[in-house]
Amino acid sequence: MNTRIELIVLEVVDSTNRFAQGLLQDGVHVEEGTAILSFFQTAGKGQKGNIWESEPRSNMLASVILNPDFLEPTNLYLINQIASLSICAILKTYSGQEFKIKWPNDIMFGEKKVAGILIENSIRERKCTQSIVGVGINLNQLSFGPYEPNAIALKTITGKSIESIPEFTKEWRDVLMEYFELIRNGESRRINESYSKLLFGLGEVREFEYDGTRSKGVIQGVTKEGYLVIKIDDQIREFGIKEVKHLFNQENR
Amino acid sequence: MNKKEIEELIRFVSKSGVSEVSLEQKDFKITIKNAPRELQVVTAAPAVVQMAPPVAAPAAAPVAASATPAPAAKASDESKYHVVKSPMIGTFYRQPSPDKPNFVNVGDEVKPGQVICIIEAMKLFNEIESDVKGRIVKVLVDNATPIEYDQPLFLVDPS
Repeated sequence: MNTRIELIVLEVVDSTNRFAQGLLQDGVHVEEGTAILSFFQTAGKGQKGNIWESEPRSNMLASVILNPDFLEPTNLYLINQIASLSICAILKTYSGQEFKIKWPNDIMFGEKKVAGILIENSIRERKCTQSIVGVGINLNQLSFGPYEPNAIALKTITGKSIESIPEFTKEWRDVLMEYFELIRNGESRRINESYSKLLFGLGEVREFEYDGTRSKGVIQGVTKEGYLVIKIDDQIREFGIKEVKHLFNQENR
Repeated sequence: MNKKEIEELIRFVSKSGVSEVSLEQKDFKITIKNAPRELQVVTAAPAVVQMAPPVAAPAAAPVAASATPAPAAKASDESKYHVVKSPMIGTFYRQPSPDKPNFVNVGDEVKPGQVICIIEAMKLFNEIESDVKGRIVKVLVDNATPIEYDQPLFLVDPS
């Protein structure tokens, strides 16, 4: 067996995604599946300028490097799907509880957010040469600042701390890689089915906003390109990211 | 307007310090924008710098020009250019984040592997790398607008 770097642990970094990008751009050979974990991020990339608020040494802030060059760029939503599924799976292993995927990139326990995903791909000649799967999972942090009123950590759910965040990270990475193998083996359809089953709000009547109007609808699943499929007034409609908004009692951000 | 006149206009605008000049003729419209001053001194996002320091093109360096010629004027002399097309449906971004400079501007030299834009699709952020070596001649899509699969994004002069 080759010796290989499985996990890079950083005390502090701007963002693990950026660190991973830097490695690759500097031509450092990084094997697929290498995980980068940081105990603290100074500029954790949230969505569009939102800084991920995290207490030092409390949570898993990690990125895994994949090379899905066998995937068409139009099928890259699969990477998001396996990231979501792997987080739900590892959290279930630790808690025995069911976690849901709030389309497109949050993981929920009940109505609260426990993890988030940020994926950055590089595309060259219509091939995805690398994919950096950045994930933040709230593990041991018991209280959250005003920017995260809707957050919850695994510890609040199980009553137990994760003793070794690096070990947890490796376990999560292994689950992610198992799902990644499924893509490689042409099991995309199965992945989409598993993903759709775990969708937050699936089959429930919820309120959505689109085209400036509010309607009640029921989530049916996602298309393989990642469009959310909602049944509204007996009509099946597909929505892109900016075309629809979930409405909650507690407004999501 | 011929190519030489356009080049002169670009040179004029870049020297004058005005931020934007629009010129409209019967079947022709051109908008030349002067990049804000700090764009020339501020280093690009670390990601970009490490990969390839952008080489400034002699004449048009400080200028981001976007011309919209009438269809008739277009066909003949654009055929020699390489067209970078979108590999996916999504939203086109010219900067790594709103407070950062553009990945590339008109006149910049690019080489294979250099990031030229981001296409966001379903919250996946896809950095699109140039597949050719050449000079950016035209940016065909406005920042932060939706794009279709195969939609032309850039014209690159590979010569």
